Amino acid sequence: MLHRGPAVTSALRLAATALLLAGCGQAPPADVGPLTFTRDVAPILFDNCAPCHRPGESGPFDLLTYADARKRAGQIADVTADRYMPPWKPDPGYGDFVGRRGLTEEQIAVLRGWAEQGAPEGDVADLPEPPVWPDGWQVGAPDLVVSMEPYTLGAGAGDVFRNFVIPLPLDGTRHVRAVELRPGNAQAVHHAVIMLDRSGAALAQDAADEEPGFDGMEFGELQRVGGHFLGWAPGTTPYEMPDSLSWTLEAGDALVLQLHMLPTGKPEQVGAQVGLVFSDTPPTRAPMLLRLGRKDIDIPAGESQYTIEDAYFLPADADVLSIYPHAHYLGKRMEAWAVLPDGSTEHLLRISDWDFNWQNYYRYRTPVRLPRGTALHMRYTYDNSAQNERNPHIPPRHVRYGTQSEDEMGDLIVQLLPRTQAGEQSIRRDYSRHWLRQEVAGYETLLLHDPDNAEHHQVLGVFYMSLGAGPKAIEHLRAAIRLRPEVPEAHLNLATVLHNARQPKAAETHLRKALQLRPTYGEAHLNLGMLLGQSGRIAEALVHLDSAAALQPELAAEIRALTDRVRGTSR
Amino acid sequence: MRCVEARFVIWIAILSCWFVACDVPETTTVVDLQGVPTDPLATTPAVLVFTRSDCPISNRYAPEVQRLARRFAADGVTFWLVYVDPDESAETIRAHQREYGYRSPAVRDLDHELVQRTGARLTPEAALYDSAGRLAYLGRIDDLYAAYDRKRAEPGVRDLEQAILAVLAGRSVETPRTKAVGCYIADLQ
Repeated sequence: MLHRGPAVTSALRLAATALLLAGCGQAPPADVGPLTFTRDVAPILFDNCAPCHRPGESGPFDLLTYADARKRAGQIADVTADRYMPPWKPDPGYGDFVGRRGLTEEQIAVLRGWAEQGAPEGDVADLPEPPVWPDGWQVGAPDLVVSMEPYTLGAGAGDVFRNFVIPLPLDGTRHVRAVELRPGNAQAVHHAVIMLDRSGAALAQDAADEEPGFDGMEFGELQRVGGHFLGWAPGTTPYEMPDSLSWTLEAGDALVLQLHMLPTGKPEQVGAQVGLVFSDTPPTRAPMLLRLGRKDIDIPAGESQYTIEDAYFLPADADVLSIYPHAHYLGKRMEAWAVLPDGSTEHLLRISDWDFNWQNYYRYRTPVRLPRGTALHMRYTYDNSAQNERNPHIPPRHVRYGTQSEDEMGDLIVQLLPRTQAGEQSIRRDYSRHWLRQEVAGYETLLLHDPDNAEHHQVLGVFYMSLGAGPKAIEHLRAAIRLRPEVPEAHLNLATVLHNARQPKAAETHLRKALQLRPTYGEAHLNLGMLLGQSGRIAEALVHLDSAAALQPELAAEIRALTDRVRGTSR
Repeated sequence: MRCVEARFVIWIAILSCWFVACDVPETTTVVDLQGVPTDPLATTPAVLVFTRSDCPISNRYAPEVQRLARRFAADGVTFWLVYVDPDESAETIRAHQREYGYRSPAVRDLDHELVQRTGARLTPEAALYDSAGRLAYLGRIDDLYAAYDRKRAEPGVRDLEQAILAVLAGRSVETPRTKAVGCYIADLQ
């Protein structure tokens, strides 16, 4: 969104001041007529501003009374005209979302006119009933309430992204149908994302950091909760799903709250709570999260119109429930749309002035029905020039894909509900190749700038392997080994590809190398056992299969079956 | 209504001067937290930081204002917090100072004399007077905010700090006027 010219704004303000000095604000402009707080302004503020601008909520000051509003009359007129307030990033007419905020042109004109008229109070009898907001949890009484360890946010410096791990006191499986996050300190918490930790990795990271939680804005091994977006931003309504779409928690799971906190100038106590409402029945269907976007983002310093695009053809009928656009500070404009098989276009989202600080997921009021063969499209534009005030680098620097805030991302995550189970499987299968191609393009770009990164070669080799591109996989896995010959996993991976490429001798060499580097490498023993078995060296094969079974007791049954097959071939 | 009240206050102030036969001081309605008329520009160099207790951007600058006040204390630069909302009581201001850890002295600009004298339009905005008592700089503390919704990761230019360094070195300030972002003082008039 473009800003009104500052010259225009200040001219208006000067006019307003002149009016005040001249006649104490008695002469209203002709077009809107005389306006008062009680009759004209209070209804707008009560409905659109006070839900957040009231005690205990996220607005940094209250907008409930005449005294509150009079002290900010000119500022209210300006920030609403700029559409900075009420905060809502999607452009109107591009997707019909739950909880949409925004004022009409008429309402904005009333606020402007009232400020210019000297912000008169009017007849107290005109004042509408002040709104009443429900206290406590909006989802009703939660079945489980958990809290993060209280954290003290310092007075100054920049934004803080910190992750707080909350182990869940569960003795078994639960199905969750509603989630509500209460930020605890809405002044300091700008937004929150709730993730799930099943690996224990987040707890370990938390333990490694002395204070509660740990810094960072990456998600690493954390997962989106079973195909759902869980989060909080000012004014968000709690996340509620029908029982059929609940999601599952297991004993031992932990929630991770990633809080984006904004220092207020004084130390702030932050203690967010999450309330969970359980369903008695397990889910019958699960939404899926599809990521469209690019990982080969590569933006030269100074480039003000860098564009990425991606498209995905749906192989089955599905409904779009919600959408989550994501970029960092250089993101400027975002568009998402669907081209249906009949050629018609359905707008899913447009954000003309992306602001990393107001990221959110957007839920459609009515799910968007997309038939099989629909093309989902996304196009994002980035501004890496010095003219972009949000550019974290002064002067601008070459920026590439990455999860740190000074890197860039370009994700559009689409929450889809396939119509049928067969459709879900078909989308999952088909989409995994799309995902792999994104990853491959991303790592190829990373290698362009960092050609000697063994880890990138290794990951890229594995992705090529999954795509069935043997020669490319061999090339990158060989490069990984050349750069870091001491990594046993690289030898195992290369052996797998060589075996698929019918080069058993070379595969055997690398499996032996992997075992030389790590004699207790169960998977290498297993693969070598199978390979030797296939080439008829049964006795040697059985030795390695026995080692594999001993090293991987959890796979004992499977290995025994394989061992029997190898024995069988010897007879 | 408010205009009439404001004029009345000035009238009283001028009258009281007749009785005590003082010179017409420039800061009759600028008072400290005890209500004593105070001229923050009696000794210069000095920095006036216009503020109010309920302006979020002003408040976010509290640590930076204190950093600058500490940095230049030894150079004899006095930082003053000028509270521009006449409805904010001395008690409210004291509580605000405690909460945000302010150590700089505060005055209340009851009739916006300092606002008019400097030309300040927003909170937070800083006015720097050099040792000769001339207004050397007026504007933002730094460029952290380009607009309400355009906040940089960190400031690229620390305008006030650069201006103070120039004044202390006897140089002219490179950019003597900048545009601040914050809450409108005119809304309080």
